[in-house]
Amino acid sequence: MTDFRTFVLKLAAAFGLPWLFLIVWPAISYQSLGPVAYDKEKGDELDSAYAYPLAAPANKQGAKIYAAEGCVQCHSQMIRPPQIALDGWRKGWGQNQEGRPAEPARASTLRDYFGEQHAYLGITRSGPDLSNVGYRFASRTDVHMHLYAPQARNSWSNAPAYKHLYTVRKIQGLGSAAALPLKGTKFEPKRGYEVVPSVEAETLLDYLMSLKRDYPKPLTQAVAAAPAKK
Amino acid sequence: MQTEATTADSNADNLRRAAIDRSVKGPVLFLFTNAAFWLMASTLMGFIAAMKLVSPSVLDCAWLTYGRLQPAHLNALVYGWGIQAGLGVALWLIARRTANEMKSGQGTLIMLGILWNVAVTIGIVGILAGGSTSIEWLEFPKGLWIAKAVIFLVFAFKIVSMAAKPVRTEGFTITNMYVVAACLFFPWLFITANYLLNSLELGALGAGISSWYVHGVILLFFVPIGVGSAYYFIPKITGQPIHSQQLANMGFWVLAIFGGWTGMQRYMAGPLPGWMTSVGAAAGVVLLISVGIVGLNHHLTTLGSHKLVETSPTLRFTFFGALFYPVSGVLLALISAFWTGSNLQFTQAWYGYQIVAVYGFFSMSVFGAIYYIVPRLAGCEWLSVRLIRNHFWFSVYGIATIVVTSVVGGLQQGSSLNDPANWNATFWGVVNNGNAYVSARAVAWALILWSNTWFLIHLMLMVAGLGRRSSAPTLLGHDHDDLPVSEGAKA
Repeated sequence: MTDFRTFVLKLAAAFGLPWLFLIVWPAISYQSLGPVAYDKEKGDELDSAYAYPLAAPANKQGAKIYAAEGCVQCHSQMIRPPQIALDGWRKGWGQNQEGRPAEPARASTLRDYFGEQHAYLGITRSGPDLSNVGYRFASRTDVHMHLYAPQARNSWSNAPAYKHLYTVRKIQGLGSAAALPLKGTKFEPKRGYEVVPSVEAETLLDYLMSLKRDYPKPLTQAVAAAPAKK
Repeated sequence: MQTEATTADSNADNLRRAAIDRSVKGPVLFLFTNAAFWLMASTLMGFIAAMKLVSPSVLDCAWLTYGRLQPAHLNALVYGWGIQAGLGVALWLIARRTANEMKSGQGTLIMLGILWNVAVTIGIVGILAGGSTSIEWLEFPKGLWIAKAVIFLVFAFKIVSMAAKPVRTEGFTITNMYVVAACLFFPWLFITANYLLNSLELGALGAGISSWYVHGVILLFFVPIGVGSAYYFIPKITGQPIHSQQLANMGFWVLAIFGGWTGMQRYMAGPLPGWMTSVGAAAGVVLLISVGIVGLNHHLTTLGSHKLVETSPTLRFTFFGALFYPVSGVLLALISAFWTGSNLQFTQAWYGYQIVAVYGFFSMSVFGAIYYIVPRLAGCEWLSVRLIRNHFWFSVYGIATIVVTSVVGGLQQGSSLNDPANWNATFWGVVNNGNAYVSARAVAWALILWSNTWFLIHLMLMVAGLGRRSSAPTLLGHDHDDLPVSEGAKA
């Protein structure tokens, strides 16, 4: 009996150690992690009126739809540093959409995901990374086209068509300004009908367009982070 | 174990065992049958999901888009099949090992089993209907986890309290150690991950925690149940005692100590603090020691009895499950080490690891256990050698296909993603190269689906008491009375 008790205690110690130090303690200290002020004197691009992370957190309602549709199964949201992987150098994965990036897109950091309940870093990469997807599309219509008719743009694409986020309806008068330009594609609705995005589709788009995680990283982050923790 | 294997069975022993078996019959058979149903459902969803990844317009409907189907497939595999079948095996193993008759509570356990299945059904339908949380292996809509945690805790409490008060104290208790560890670690992992991820805003740390959870469930629930069951059945059937108790102990403690540190390496070179991913990667590689020790011990125990692998269904499944264990360990080390991991990160190789661990290793071991346990509980023998053989070969070839294509496909995907020449390439190459591998995966799931359907039917006939009435067990490669002549002649 005492044998058994010692055994269970040993088990608890074996697992309790990683549980406490790898999971619980970091989770608690993450709660008090604050933004970091930039410091121009130390070589940052911005002065101390700005703090890192610079952007507002990603749209929360849209993130729920992103999760419900399981986008994370095929799209990552994590840029690895150029020493490890090609990520930063890929065309269009940073802010620059034209030609070869002059310098690689910045690797992701912990504070890039501030304000997000859960970061969808990714499971597999069957499609492009979405860390900076907010820069990628010229217009909202282009994104809608990708969601409703992925094969209209790239015939080889294996992205699913999210038809359930769109409404097919009879054209009234001149038709809706939001209707997708599907003419000539295999996704074209019946004559006299048009396809318009639902509220969910627009919300998902708000989320995608809010993903711009490339603002400058303060050089002194490690030092400045300490006081913010208290 | 030694005593059981070496002493002649006396009549009293047989009666005692029959009484133990009878006392756990209801819950164990209930768990097995429902688990087998979920296994079939999961296989079907895996098949459709693989198809959809190649051609997304097949079965065009919102509920069956890849992003919903794939998590539903894996959650059905983990919670519908894995946890349920694992609990069934754990309950029986502990009852037998400790010679404890379960005095009461069979009805409660069956009721809780029903509730577990209701929860899994709601969860799977919830994911398909668009309620997925997209937190890996925790995709079930929020709130369900509390019910699942409570149900599991009651089962775990029942099993652990039997292990704490053994009627029979002699014999080496490595199986008990593994089972108790699994019963303790799973709820700990499950409650921690769910509580933290649901109640705190964790950003990228949340992704790390969810990955830690997935690795934890594999290494600290599925692996212990699979290894524990192998440590019971291999000596039992070969009649050899476990080769080395010291090795067995060492393998166990290496797993228990390092298992909880892995997981975060999934996001190596990502936003997580460097020490977290480094610790995970190191632990993932160190676990090779445990895998090697367990593999060596099983090998030395089986040595000289390989003939039995041909004839005994239990030993055959357990043996091949035990063979898949080192494969899963090596694959874990490959995806964990920074050297190879950065190339396999975000590729199909991850799917390959999940399947080889949960299906190749754990499920094959559990199949072995089921082929041993069910005849003893149902009071009749398996009906058809042919169905068992069919189940075995389809599973082995199917799983091997999925794992090999996922890993090779993953390597190709990774090198394509990281090839500097592809800096301005579209994803055409990744998609196009992947199609062949994913198609192979779909075919493999279809074959496994075929054999799993027959496994479910076979199991249901047994549970209904419609098995063969005979005192001779159904052995592979041995003919018995009611086999067709051709089958008997072949054997």
